[in-house]
Formats: sequence, structure tokens, C-alpha cells
Amino acid sequence: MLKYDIDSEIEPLTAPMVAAHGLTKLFSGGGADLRAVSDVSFELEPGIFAAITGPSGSGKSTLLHLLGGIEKPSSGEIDVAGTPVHALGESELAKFRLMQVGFIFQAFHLIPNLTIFNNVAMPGLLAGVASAALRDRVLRLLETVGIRDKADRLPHELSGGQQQRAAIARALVNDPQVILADEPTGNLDSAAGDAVLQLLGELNDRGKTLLMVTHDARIAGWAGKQLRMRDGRLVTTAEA
Amino acid sequence: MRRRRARAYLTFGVASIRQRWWEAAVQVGVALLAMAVVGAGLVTASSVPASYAATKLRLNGPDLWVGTQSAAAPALYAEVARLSQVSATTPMYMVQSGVVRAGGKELPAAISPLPDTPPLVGSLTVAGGAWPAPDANVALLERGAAQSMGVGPGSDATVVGGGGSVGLRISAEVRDISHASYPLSTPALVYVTRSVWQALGGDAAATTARFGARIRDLSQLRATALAIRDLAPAGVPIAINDGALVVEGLQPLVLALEGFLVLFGLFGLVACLFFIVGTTRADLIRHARTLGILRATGWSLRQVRWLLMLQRGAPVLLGVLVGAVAAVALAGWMTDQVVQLMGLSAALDAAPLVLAGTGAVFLLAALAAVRLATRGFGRTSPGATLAAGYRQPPSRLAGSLEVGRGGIGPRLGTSLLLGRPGRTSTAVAVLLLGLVTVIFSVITEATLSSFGSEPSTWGYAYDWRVDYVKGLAPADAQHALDGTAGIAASLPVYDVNATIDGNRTDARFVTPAQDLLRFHLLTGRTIASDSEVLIGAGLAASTGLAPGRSVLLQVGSAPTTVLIAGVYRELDNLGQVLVGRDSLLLGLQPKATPAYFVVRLQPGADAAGVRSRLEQSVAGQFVVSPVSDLIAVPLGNVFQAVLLILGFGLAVVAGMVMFAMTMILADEHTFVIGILKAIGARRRQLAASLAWAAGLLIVPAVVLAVPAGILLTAALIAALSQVVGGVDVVLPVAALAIAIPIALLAPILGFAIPARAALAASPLEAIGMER
Ligand SMILES: Nc1ncnc2c1ncn2[C@@H]1O[C@H](COP(=O)(O)OP(=O)(O)O)[C@@H](O)[C@H]1O
Ligand SMILES: [Mg+2]
Repeated sequence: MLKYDIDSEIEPLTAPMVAAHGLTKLFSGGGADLRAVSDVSFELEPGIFAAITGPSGSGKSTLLHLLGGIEKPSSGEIDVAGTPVHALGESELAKFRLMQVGFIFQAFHLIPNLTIFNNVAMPGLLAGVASAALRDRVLRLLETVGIRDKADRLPHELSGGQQQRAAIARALVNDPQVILADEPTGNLDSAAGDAVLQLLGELNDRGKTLLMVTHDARIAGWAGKQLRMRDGRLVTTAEA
Repeated sequence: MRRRRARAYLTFGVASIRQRWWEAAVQVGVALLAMAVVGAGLVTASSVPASYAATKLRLNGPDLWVGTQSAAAPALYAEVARLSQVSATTPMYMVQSGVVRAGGKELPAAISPLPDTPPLVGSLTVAGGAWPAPDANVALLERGAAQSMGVGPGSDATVVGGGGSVGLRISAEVRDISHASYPLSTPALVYVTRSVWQALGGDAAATTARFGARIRDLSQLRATALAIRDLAPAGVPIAINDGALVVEGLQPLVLALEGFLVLFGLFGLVACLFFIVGTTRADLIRHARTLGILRATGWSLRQVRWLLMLQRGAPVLLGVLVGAVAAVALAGWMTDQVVQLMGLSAALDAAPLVLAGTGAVFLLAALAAVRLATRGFGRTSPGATLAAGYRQPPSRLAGSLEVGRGGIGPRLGTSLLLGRPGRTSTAVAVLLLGLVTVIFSVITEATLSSFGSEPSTWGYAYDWRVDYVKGLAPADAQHALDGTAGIAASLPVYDVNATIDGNRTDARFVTPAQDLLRFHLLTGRTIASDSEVLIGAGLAASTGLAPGRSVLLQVGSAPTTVLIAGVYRELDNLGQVLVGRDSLLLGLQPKATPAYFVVRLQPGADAAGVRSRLEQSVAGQFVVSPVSDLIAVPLGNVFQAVLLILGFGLAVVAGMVMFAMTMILADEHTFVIGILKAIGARRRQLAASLAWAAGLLIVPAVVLAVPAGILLTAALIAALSQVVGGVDVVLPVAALAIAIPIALLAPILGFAIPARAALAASPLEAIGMER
């Protein structure tokens, strides 16, 4: 006999772009285990700008690494753009990192001995994008982030703000739906920081889901959703 | 202030060694091996004469030796003993030339009577057994000869002297420092009791005699020697030698040994310096930020340089210290091997001084290498150093990754390597040097172990050398040879001492146009007349004599002028030999007798049967030595062992350096691998690029090193051949085919270990591995 299914009744119109369920990350070492992320659950709808805030050491970066497939959870489930990240094997995880998300580090992490052009092109090369198309795309992205003239420079020849823009361009090469940014302005002065934020805002306006770790209450205020963390737990989820 | 700075150095030094312990370990290891090998070579060379001096002191040995004809000896002995400069003499030793047979072997023998009791001034020590009673039916056999015959105290022996033959027992082994012992000098020394001596014919059957004298004032050694010479009646040959003659005879061998050790050690030192330059350069790049911070916070350039020198100098110092201990052990063993053979007791000499000097040179070289590596380091401002982790922008090379060319593996691999061209080129240089070293070891080892093992190399187209007891008339000896079935041909060889152009040498005279001895010409032409001679390569090298020169040849008291027609390859006496026609000698000394005969057997003849028939025909007064025994190099086993140790040690040094170099290189890629992983590179892609990088590093090194190693080794051996003559390079293809891949394992492992770790690590771990 067919029963009435109450869940299907209240299913949202669109599936969440990012979802976490009971997400936990333990770091062992020094005797006791450290719960860097503890039983975190939340959902983000597509196209949203969400901010993760909280004091230093509260697990923000770890959470972002888990979502980006850079770190594996101890338990819990992660769903990003329909991909069950927690269940992926090594090479599927690499493919996920390559295609589905763009990760922006606080310390930029450009490859020091490659030119800016090659740094940005790298994910496309890894994905096997046809060369002419990739060249156009890289140059267009460098244009977008405003460092087209630095294409042949090495990372250390650029200022911090310029390096971070290159990192953003790199995150966009394979056109991921989700951008994960870990304090992207943390190493920048306020002018450079504002420019980077504006760039990220524009991306969000064009439909990318943006999840950003930030210390800055002002920036967090602009977010459509705020995830506040303390001691690895999600303490509040505030909708704007 | 000074102490605080020292603590600052220490803090940094300890931190960096803890972080990169294997770099320090390789430096310790390489310095240790290089020091051990060079130190051992130098200490051995000086320890051989020191051992002689120590043994002489212990035996209260004489300062010089006098040899003369037996008939004239007693009168000369009495007169020398009366000389005021002479404080004491050894007993007079009469010498019969004969044969000793024991353990199924036979050797030409110099037989002397043993004094009834151990003499006060002496040259003999009884090594195994006691001093025999005068009436015992026994003999003492010199240790080297006993070893070569495989007999010892208790063995039965037959001694054939100038006037008879006696069956007896060997009661003990003896060491005698009046001679370099067998096989360095032939014949073997045999001492018999007074009763045996009488049975052999006594003093009447002796041909020569020898005694030693102690000099009151050693500064008068030469004058005393001349005074003794003047005592000899006209026409009586007399030979006076400094006691150290024994050691001098060995000097070429000892020097060769030392030369090899030092050469190998210098190879090790060069590898060590390469490594230091490479790692220091790398540190400047790797720790650019740290160094920038240091400078920005008040360290001077000099202090930074001191810090780097401390980091390199400390491991080298440790290696040098441990290496010095190893050198002493190695030198002790080698000296023992060498001097045992001469009847000496080993004594290490000048070890502290030589080792301290060598160690200081090593340390200074290491510091100079750091200085060299830090050249130009101060030109950038602290600010620039702080900003730039990478000082050599690979602008041209970075283009290798430009979109559109090749697969991701080769492109990424190339860029990983070329991102740090300075580092990569050092690695290639170290790889090259390492491989060349391994190739050098393998070829040298093969060449020297096959050196001289083929009689035909030396032109010896005979099967036996036959010595005869002097009691046997040469004509009877020749007659016996001619009359024995199974012998195809025999040839008398005259062998005398001569002086050519003022240089003493061994001179050999043979019948022209025979084919038992075919002299292998190196330069010039064969002898066309009685007034022409050939000289051995060793004599040519030591005297500078060359074909075309007319020089004075003195045999006995008769001088004549001869033309040097050519230089030939000669094994005997390290090539210090001259060859002329027997008609030349017989013109100068009509009564000269052959020293020995060389004999060729008929093809398929039963050698043992022919030999026993031959010996029976002359009542045992022949000594038959197969040609293969004659070309065994004295100390060959020591050389072999040392070469093996050296070859292996060098290969280990090369392996360690190559391992460390590629390990550092791959380790530095960890950070980049982490980033690539974080942005989605797959393990397979990264593995492919690392494999490409390793290939790009190793393949060119192999392609360059194999020909370079072969050519370099050939050149070095050719230089050696100049001196000895006839050292042909042996290219052991199979051994190389095994050794090179084994040698390559080191750098491949060095690359693979950190690369694997980086591949296995999570992206964040790998990024965090940046040092
Ligand atoms: N790889 C690691 N191993 C052990 N502990 C870690 C590791 N990464 C982070 N932590 C710990 O987890 C906690 C959360 O770290 P993190 O997520 O970086 O905090 P936040 O980004 O909020 O400042 C901290 O206590 C930190 O020390
Ligand atoms: Mg953080």
C-alpha cells in the first residue's frame, strides 16, 4: 500500500549546492584527539554568498578544507554540487578538486617557479583542456582579475594583492560552481583586500556559490548566510 | 657579545642539522671515506720505512751490508771488523746457491749456515719454532718462501746445495731483514745448521758471502762504506748496501699503493666538495627568507657566512676525525701486509702529523667550498632576499609549460627541474661525477687484476724457467735440456748487474732471432747489431733514456758504448731492465755463464713427466718454475684487496652523494606537489611528471658519464702505462652493465623516497612539508 511521504512534500524547489551532515574532523596527536570540526551540519542553496566566522582556532579552515576535498572527514557527509565528497576515492577526489570547486588560500600558494600564466593555466592543463581554448580562457581571466600584463611574471615579482588575484583566476579556470576562499584578504592591506572582495562579489553575482572564511564582521555582514563557529561547533546559522 | 653570537650560531646550526640530518650524514660519510683512504695511503707509505727502522732497532741490526765472493770474504770480514768506524759486525754468512724442495714445490735457494746461537748484531728472527741446535738435521725457511710453498715448521724438505743434497725437516720459519724476502727477491732464503751445512759441502761450496756492520757515527756512513770498498782486493767484486735497501726495493710498489689510495681519496674529496657547494647553494635559496630575516635583524653578511660554514664544517670535521681513526686501522692492516712479506714488524709512523695535515686540508677545502658557494650572495639587499624565495627566475624555461606542447607529465617534470636550474645543474654534475667514479673503479679494478696475468703480454713464449745449481756446469745443464724428451726448445739467459748512463740496472743478454722471448716493443725498433740494446719501459721512464741515444754501458769493469734501439714492455723489476745480445756480453766477459734457461715444451707433452725426467738427469740440481708463477705480482693479493676496498668505497661515496642530491631535489618539490594536489592534480599525473623529472636528470648524466668515465679512466691508465709499460685498458662490459644500473639505484631511490612521501601525503601535509 502506498503511503503518503511527508518529506517529498516539503522538499525545497532547488537542491542545496553545499550540504554537510554531522561533519566531524579529529586530529590525533599529543595524546588526546582534537575535535577541530565537531558534528557540523548545514546547507547552502546555489548562488549564495556565505561567510564562516569565529575566533582563531575554531575550525573554520578545517571545515573549508573538508568541503573542498583537501582534507578527509573523520565522520559525516558532505555534498557539493551533487557530489558525495565524503565517499570519494583518491582519484575521484582529485577530479572533484579540479572540476567542481575553486579553492583560494590565505597564503596564495602559487607555484613559485611557474609564470603567472602557467599558474593560472595549470588546472586547465591537468584537465586536458584544448590548448587554444585554454590560452584564451586564461588570458580572459587574467583580464578579468586585472593582471593581464603580469602573465609572464613569476609570483614573487607580484604584490600580495596581485598574487591573490592570480590565485582567484586559477580557481576559476575550470569554471567550478563553488568557490571556497579561506581569509582571501587576510594577507592584504585594506585597498588590495577591497579589490579582491569586489572581484569575489562579482563572481557571486554571476551565480557562483561563494563560501568565505573571514574575520571581518563588516564583510560577514554582506553575506546571505553566516556560519558562526566556536571550538569546532557551528554555534549559529544566521540568514541575512 | 661574542658568546651570545656563538650561541646564536649553535642554535641555528643544530636546528638545521636536525632538520636535514641526512645531508649532514652524507657529509660525514663522504668526508670519512675520503679521509680514511687518503690518510691510509700516506700513513702506509711512511710506515714501511718506519717498520724497517723499528725492526732493525729491535734486532740490533747492522747499518750496512757487504757482499762479496766467498773466497775473498773471510779476509775482508776480518779487516772490516778492525776498522775504527765499525763498532760491531754480524756473523759472516756464506751463501751456496741451490734448490729447496718442499710441499711438492721447488724454489731456487740461497743457502747459508745458521750461527750456533742467536748473534748479537742480527738480521734474523725466528718466527715459528726455536733456534735449532748446531747438530740438528733441520733448516729454517724464510717466511715468504714457506708461504709460497705451502709448508711450515715440521714439514719435510730437500735442500740441494753446491756440493750435495740433504733431506731434512723445516724446524721453524725465519724472518730476515738483510733481504727483501721471497717473492720480492729470488731466491728463497734457507738457513741450515752447521752439520747440514757441512753435508752440503760447507764453505768450499759457497759462491758468495755477506755480512753486516754497525757504524759508530751514522753521519760517517758513506765515508765508512767507501773505506770498506777500498779494502777489497783489485778484481774482487764487492757490493755495499745501506741497510734500508730492503725498503728501497719495495718503494715503487708502496708508492703505487699510496698513489692509488690518494687518487681514490681525492675523487672522494671532490665529490664531497661538489656536494657541499650544491647543498650550500640550495640552502641560500631554500632559506632565503630566514637569511633575509637574519640580515634584516642585524646579522652581517660575514656572520651569515660563518653560520653556513659552521653548518658544513661541523659534519666534515666529524667525518675527518672518524676517518682518521679508520685511516689508522686501514694503514695498520696494509703496512702489516707489506712489511710482513719483508720480515719486518709493522710500526705506524707519523700518523698524527700526516693525518692532522690531511684533515686540515679537507676542512679548509670544505670551508672554501662554502665560500665559493656563497659568492655573490650579499649582492641582493636583505629586503630583496626576504621577498624572493627564488632568485633565479627561469623565465625562458618556464615557457616549457606554455599551453599547447606535449603531455602534462613531461611538461610538469621539466618545469619541476628547471624551476631551480642552479640546483639541477649541481645534481647533474654530482650524478656525472658519481657515475664516472663508479666506471673508473670498475675499469681500473678489471684492468689491474688482469694486468700481467697473460705471459704473452710480456713476450714470454716459454713454459718454464729453469735455474740450475752453480755446482752444475752450464754445458751439462744445456746438454740435459737438449737430451730430455718432451722439450721443444731451450734458451740460455745471461743476467748481470750493469750500469747504463750512470744508472744501475738489471741487464739480460740472449741469443738473437729466437722465439722463446719476444720483446714487445713500445717505441723504436728491434736490436740489429751487438752494439744495440733495448730498455724496459720502467728504465726509460725513470732515466729519460729514449731510442736513438748512444750511452755508456758498463758490465763488470768493462765499459762500452751502445745505442738504445727501442723501449719494450717488461714485467721484471718494474721494467728496470736492459736487453742485449749474448754475443755483446760474451765479448765483454768471455767467462760469463747463463743465469737460467727458458724452456718450451712440445705441444701436448706431459709436463710433470718431462719435469721429473729432467730433474733426474741432473740429480735434482735444476729448479723448474712454470711461467705463470713468475708473473704473479708480489703483493698482488694486497693490491687486489685494496683495490676492491677502494672501488667499493668509492662506489659507496658516489652512491651516497647521488642519493642525497636527488633526495634534496625531490624533497624540494614536495611543496609544489602539495599545491598541485590541492588544485586537483591526480596522483598518476604527478607520478608521471616526477618520473619525467628523474629521467631528465638521470638519462643525460648516464649518456655523458659512460663515455667520459671510459675516456678518463683510459687516460689515467695510459699515464700509468707510461711508467710501467704495457698496462692495457680492459673494458669489462658485463661488469659495467651490472655496476652502472646498481650505481643508478642510489639516485633513483634518493628521488623516489621523498617523491613517494609527497605523493602519499595529503595536499595540506605536502604544502606544510616546505622547509
Ligand atoms: N593538521 C592538523 N593537525 C592537528 N591539528 C590541527 C591541524 N589542522 C588544524 N588543527 C587544529 O584544529 C583546530 C582548528 O584549526 P583551524 O581550522 O585552522 O582554525 P581556524 O581556521 O578557525 O583558525 C586548531 O586547534 C588547530 O590547531
Ligand atoms: Mg584558518
